[in-house]
Amino acid sequence: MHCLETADLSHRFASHDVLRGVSMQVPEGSIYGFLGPNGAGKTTTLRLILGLLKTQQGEIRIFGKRIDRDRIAILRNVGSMIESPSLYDHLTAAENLRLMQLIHRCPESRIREVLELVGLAGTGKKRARQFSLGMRQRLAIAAALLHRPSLIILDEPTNGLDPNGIIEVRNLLVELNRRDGCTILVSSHLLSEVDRVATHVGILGKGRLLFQGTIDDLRRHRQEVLSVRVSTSDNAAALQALGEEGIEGRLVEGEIVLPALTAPRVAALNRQLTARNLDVYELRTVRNDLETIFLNLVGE
Amino acid sequence: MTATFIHAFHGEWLKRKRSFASSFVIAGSLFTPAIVTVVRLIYRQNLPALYAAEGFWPNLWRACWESMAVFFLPLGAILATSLIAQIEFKSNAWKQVHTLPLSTAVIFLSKLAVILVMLLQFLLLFNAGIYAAGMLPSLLVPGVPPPKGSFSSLPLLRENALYFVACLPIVAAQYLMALRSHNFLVPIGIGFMAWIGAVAAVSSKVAIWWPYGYTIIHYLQDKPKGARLAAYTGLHWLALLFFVVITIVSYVLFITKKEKG
Repeated sequence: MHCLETADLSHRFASHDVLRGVSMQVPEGSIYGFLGPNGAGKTTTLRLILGLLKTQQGEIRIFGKRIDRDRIAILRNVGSMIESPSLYDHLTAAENLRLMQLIHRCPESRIREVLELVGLAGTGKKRARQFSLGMRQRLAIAAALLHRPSLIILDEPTNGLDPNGIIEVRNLLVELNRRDGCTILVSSHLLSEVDRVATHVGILGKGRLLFQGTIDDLRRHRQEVLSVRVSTSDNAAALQALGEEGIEGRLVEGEIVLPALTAPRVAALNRQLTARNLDVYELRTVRNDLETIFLNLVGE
Repeated sequence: MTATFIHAFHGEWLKRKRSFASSFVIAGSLFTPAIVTVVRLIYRQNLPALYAAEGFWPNLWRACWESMAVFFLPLGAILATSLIAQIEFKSNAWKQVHTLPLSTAVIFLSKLAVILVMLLQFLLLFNAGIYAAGMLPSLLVPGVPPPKGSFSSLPLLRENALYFVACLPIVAAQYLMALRSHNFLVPIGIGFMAWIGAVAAVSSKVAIWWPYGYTIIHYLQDKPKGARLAAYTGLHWLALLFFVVITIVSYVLFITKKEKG
């Protein structure tokens, strides 16, 4: 069962295609990491999902309903934070949440609860304009959580946070997902920010969805060998010997970099080098890490 | 729908807390009565005769309304409307407002309703200020009798209602501009220029078609200068018409905005 689905979502600003046929499926109860470099179209996708932009092409369904037809019913169960926090600087944290509480008609006690949850319960009469960036970010997240939504959409929620703040937000998302079972769609331009918490990942590049699947699917790519690196007593001679065997290599920072080879070929290569009286100091296969997979996918 | 509107209105009312617009409502409405009081306390030797005179309250009423009708009320409407509508731009919060479970009509009308209630608050405080300006000198200065006559509420209520109506087109026009402009100086600047134009054109025949001067025209209606405004009759109906038309245009532009927030 998918909590959120888009089908063939395309969007254009003036003559520029921002999204091209994005079909994403966010499973219910998942933490969906929505990744892509800056300018890939993540925020545009999220704005379309929330009805902030008019859909030009494609369809968006949340809880099985179309956003363009059942906007209000859908938004009752959605909490969101898009781009920078939307806060009224002249009001306190509790007053900012009170505005939301009135509209969502949730118990007033929830204000205190969410403020405690994000560590802002002690801010008292301090106005939002006096908050640090991290505090503002946490208050905006508190506003998104206030009415216990089934779907939480957070656009780059760790932007501007220090490492501790990033860990806190990460832990908060996991806790919410486990405790309340809510679905979380979180966008980021850094895989490392979501790979520890996401159960599912969608990677967007230049307006196209380049990968979608579980985090384990993405990790499986890691097993693929990217290159073989060799270091010998005479790299120039070794490079020539390998060339004679039909293996094209190049010298990079004092070691020979070879294309991906199968395990038997790696063993044979070692034998050939030692047979030519070359000492092999190091022979290793380099595998993709998640970040490399991500960068390869988005073409950077 | 009604309950949703009431909650949305309550939320919008909270947003004006500690804002410049709400401070202006208090300061702007009490400014003239405060000045009148201070001047009377300084020139206290004239007070016994002034307070014993017939028509004390109507005279005080007109004296206070002069600056209000020409200056504070139109400029207050320009500033308060622009600033209240601009709170969302300033707080980068339109995107949050549009992702709340509220219809576009409720979002539009609740904010407009807050502005109109603030305008009523402005008039209410101003009236309380006039009453205080009338009563305080007699209470503070020995030998000054209580004002002659009564602070009659019924004609006063009618006058307030007419000034309120005369001000509505300004509110609608400023609301339209403030909802569309990211920069708060744009609606305030245009509003200010429109008001200067109204002051300059108030004696001309075309003034009736320039709603920024309606409060001034209303004030001048029983003065010789005002009598020249042949088209005065129906001013308030025209004000209501302007208000309704501009508000409808504003709403249509609001709902058809391609990008919300």
